[in-house]
Amino acid sequence: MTLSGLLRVSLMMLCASLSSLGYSASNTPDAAHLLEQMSNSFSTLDYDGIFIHSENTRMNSMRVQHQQRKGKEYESLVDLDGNKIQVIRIDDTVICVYPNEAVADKQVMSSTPFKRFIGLDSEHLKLGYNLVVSNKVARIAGREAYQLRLEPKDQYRYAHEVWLDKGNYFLLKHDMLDQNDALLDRIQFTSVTFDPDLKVADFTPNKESYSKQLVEPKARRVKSLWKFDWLPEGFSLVWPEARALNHGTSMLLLSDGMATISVFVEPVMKTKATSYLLIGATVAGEKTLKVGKQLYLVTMVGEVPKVTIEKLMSVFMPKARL
Amino acid sequence: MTASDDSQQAVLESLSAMFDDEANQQDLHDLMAQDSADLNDKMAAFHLIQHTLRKETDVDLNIQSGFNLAARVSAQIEQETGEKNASNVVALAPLLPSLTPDMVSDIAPQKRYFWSGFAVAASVAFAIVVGGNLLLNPEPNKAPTVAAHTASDIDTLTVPVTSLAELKKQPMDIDNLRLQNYLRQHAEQATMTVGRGMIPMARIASYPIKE
Repeated sequence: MTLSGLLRVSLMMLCASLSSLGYSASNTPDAAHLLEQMSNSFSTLDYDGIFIHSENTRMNSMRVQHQQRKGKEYESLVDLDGNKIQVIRIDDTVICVYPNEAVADKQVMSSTPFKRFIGLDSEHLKLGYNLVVSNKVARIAGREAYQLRLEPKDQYRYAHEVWLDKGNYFLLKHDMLDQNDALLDRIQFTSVTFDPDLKVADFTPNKESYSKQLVEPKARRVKSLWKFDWLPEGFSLVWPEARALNHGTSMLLLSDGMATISVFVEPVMKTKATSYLLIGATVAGEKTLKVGKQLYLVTMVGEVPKVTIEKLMSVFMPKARL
Repeated sequence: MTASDDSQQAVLESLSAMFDDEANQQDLHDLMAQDSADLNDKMAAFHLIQHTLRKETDVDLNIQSGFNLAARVSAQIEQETGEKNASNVVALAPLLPSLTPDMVSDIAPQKRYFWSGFAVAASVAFAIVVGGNLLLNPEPNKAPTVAAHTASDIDTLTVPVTSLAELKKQPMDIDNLRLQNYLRQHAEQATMTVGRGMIPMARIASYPIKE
C-alpha cells in the first residue's frame, strides 16, 4: 500500500472512530448519543455524590451512592436535611426508611418489564423535543460538562436542560423550565466521586431507624378498561396493560421519554370536586367521572404543565365493550 | 390448626362481625387487608353459609352488587371515625412526606394549593378500599362494569375548587395519605422509566414530613 493509501485508510479509521463516539463534524457531541450515555451511566458507574434538589423556594440536599456488587445493583438516596429519609434500591427492590416511628416501605417491583431500568430512547424523545447541544462547556461540581437542552415542541411538556460530565456523561445538573423559561425544578450535584469506597453497610438500613413496615398494594397486571382519545405527540403508554392495586385502583403510566404521567382510577361512591395541586414541577389533578351508574375518581400525577393534565382528563374514557 | 386456617377463620369472624354491626376497627382493617378477589369469594361463601344456617330471608346482603357491603363498611368507619379524635387519625397515616396546609404559606402565590378534593372524610377513602373492581364485579370472568362507551355517556362532575382559607381549616390526613401514595407510586415508576437512576425519587423524599 502506498503512503497516500495508508493515509487515506488512517483518516477513514479516525472518522469512523469519531463517529462511533458520537461526535459530529464540528466536534459537537451528538445530543442523542449524549442522552443515551447519560442513561447508561446511572447503572454502569459507581458513584458517591451530594446534590441539591430545589423547587419553588424549597431546597434539599441529598446523597446518592451507587455500586455494582456481585451482579446486583445497589443504590442509596439519603435526605441530608431534616427528615433523614433514605431510599435504598437493590436491583428492583425499593426500601424507604423513615425516622421517628420508623416506617419502612418495601415495594417489590414487578419482575417484568422492570428487570432493569428502561433505557432512554432518544428517537422517542425527538418526537416531543428538539435536542440542542450547547457549544459552551460548563463547569458543575468541579467537573467539565456538556450542556444539552430539550426544547419542547408543544405546550404539553416542560423544557429540560441537562449538564453531563465530559468524561463519563453522568448527569451533573438537571433543570426543568416552564414555557417562560422560569425554573421549576433543579437537581445539581455539588460534589461527586466516581471511585467511591462503598460497602454493604452503606446500603443497609439501620435497624433502629424503622420498626414498622408500610403495607404496600402489590401491583397486578390487568386489562386496561380505559383509553385516551388523544395524547400529546411522543407520549405513549409505558405498559400495554394497567396495574391493578389491591384496593381496587387501576394505574396507567404515560411517558414521552423524559416526562411521565401516572393515571390512577378508582371506583368511588361519592363525587369529588375537580381540583389540581401544583408542587413545583409536579401537577396532580383529580376528577370524578360517571360511567353508567358507577362513579370513578381519576387522579393524574405528572411533571407536565397543568394544561396537559386538564386535556388528558377531558379525553380519558372507558374503552369500547370487549 | 395452621396459621393459614387461623387467618381464614379470622376473616370470617370479621365478616360476621361486620354483618352483625359488631365490627371493630381491627375487623375493618383486617378485611381491607384482604385481596379483593379472595374477599369476594369469602363473602359469597359466607353469605351462602349464613343464609343456609340461619334461614334469614330478611337480611339482604346483596352480594351481587357489593355496594351495600361497601356502604356498610363505610358507615361503620364513618361512625368510628367520628368517635376518634384527631390524634388517632394522624396515627393512621404513616410518616411519609405529608403535604400540610401549613406548607401553603411557604409557597409562591402562583404555586398555591387548591386541592380541595383531598380534603374529604376518612370514610370515603376507606370505602374505596372495599369497593374495588373485583368486589364490584360478581362475575369473575366478566370485565368490571363499564356500561358507557362514548364520551357523551360520561358525566363530568365539576364543582368550584375550595378556597385556600377553607382548605387550611380542613383535615387532610386521609387525602394526604392517598396523595402520598400516588406521588410515591408515580415517583417510583418514573424512576424506572426515564433513565435517570433514583434521581426522580428526590422529589418525594424531599417533601416535608407532617410533624
